Amino acid sequence: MLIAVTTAYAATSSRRALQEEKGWQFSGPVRSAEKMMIEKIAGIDKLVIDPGHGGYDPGLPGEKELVLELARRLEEVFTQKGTEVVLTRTSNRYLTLPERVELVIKENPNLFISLHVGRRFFSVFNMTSKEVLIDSIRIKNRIIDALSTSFGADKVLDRRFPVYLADNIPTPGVVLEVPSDIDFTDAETRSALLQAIVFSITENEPELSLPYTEETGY
Amino acid sequence: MNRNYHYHIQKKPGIKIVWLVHAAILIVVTIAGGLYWGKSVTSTKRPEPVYSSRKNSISIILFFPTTEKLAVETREVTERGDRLSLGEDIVRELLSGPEEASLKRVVPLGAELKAFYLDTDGVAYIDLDRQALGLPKDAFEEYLAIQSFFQSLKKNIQDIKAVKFLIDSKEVDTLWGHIGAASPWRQSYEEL
Repeated sequence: MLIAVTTAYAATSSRRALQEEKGWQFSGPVRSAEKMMIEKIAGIDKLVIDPGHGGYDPGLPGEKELVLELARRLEEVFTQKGTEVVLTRTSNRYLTLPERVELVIKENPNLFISLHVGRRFFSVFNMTSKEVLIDSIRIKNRIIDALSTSFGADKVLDRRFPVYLADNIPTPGVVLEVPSDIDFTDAETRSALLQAIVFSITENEPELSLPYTEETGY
Repeated sequence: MNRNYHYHIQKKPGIKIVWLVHAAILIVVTIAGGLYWGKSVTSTKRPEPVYSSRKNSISIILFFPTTEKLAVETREVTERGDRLSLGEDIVRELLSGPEEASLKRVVPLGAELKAFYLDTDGVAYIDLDRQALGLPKDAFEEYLAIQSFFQSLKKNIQDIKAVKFLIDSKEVDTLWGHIGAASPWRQSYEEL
C-alpha cells in the first residue's frame, strides 16, 4: 500500500515537473496521489455516460431509447452516491463519434461508460489507449464478472476489435452492449443490470487512476 | 444335442443381420466423416482466385458474415481485364447478397454502389448510397460487415491494403455507430 502511494506520488510529481519545466503535454487526467487516495475511498467523483446512437441513427430497433433510459437510471444511482454525472446526450439527438470524444475530453471524468445494444450477448470493450489501458481492463473484468454472475457466463463476451470510442477516449472505462433479447421492461432484470454495473464500479475499490508515465511504463 | 443343434440353426441368420447392421453403420459413418472433413477443409482453406475454364470469366472469392464469423462463397464474373473493374464487380456481388442461405446479407437488397475507385496507396474507395445503412447492426455485425468488403477485395486484388467507405459520395464518421469510418480500414481479420 505504502509502495503504491509512494510510486503514484513520484509518478505524478515527476509528470507535474515535466509539464512545468518543459511544457510537455500529457493526455489523460492529471491526479495527485492524495486525490487518488480520496477517490479510492469515495469512489468515482465524475462519470460520463454515453447513450449510443440517437436522432436519425436508431441503432438496433429500440436501442436509442433503451440506452437513454438506462443512462438516466444509472445517472440517478450515481448521483445519489455523490458522483457528478454527465450524459453525452439527454434527448433523442445524434452526436458524431468525434463529438462524443470531445465532450469526454472537455469533462475530464474519472470514468466513462458508453451504452449500446447487441443482438444476443453482453459485449464489453475496454478503452485501449496506453494511458488508461490497465484501469480500463480492470473495470471491464469486474463488469464481466458481475454480469456473468447475474445473467450467466454464456451471455457475456469480452470483445476485442476496434471500436471508435474504446480507441479514442482518454479516460478509463468501457463500451458496454446489452443484449436485445433481455426484457428490460422487467423491473427485476433491469435492477440486476444496474446493480451489476454499479457494484462492479464502486464496491470493489476501484484504483483510479494512475496515469501513464515513463517511470511506471503504463 | 438336438436342442443345441436347433439353437445353432436359429442363431446363424441373427448373427448375419448383426454383421450387416454393423457394416451399414460403418459405411454411413465413413461417408458422413468424409463429407464433414471435406466441408471443414473448404471452410478453413481459403482458395485463391482462379481463371475458370469458361471463356472470359473469373472465379472470385467473397466473404459473407454468418452470426459468428466470415464464410467464403465463390462466384464467377465476367473478366474485364483491369483491377478497377474487378473491384467494382466484387462490391456489386457483395451487394447482391449470398447464395448460401446460412450466410447473411451485408447491406439491404436495393442498396447501390455509386462509385468505386482505387488510389495509388492501395486504398479502395467504396461509395455506397444511404440505403446501404438500412440494416442496423450491433458492433460485432458492423465489424463483420466492414471485414466482408475488405477481405473480399484484398483476397482477389492483391495490392489492396485498405478500404474507405463513403455514403452518397460524402465522408462519414461511422457506418453503423460503433466503428470509425473516417480513416481507411486496414485491420486484418481475426475470428473472435
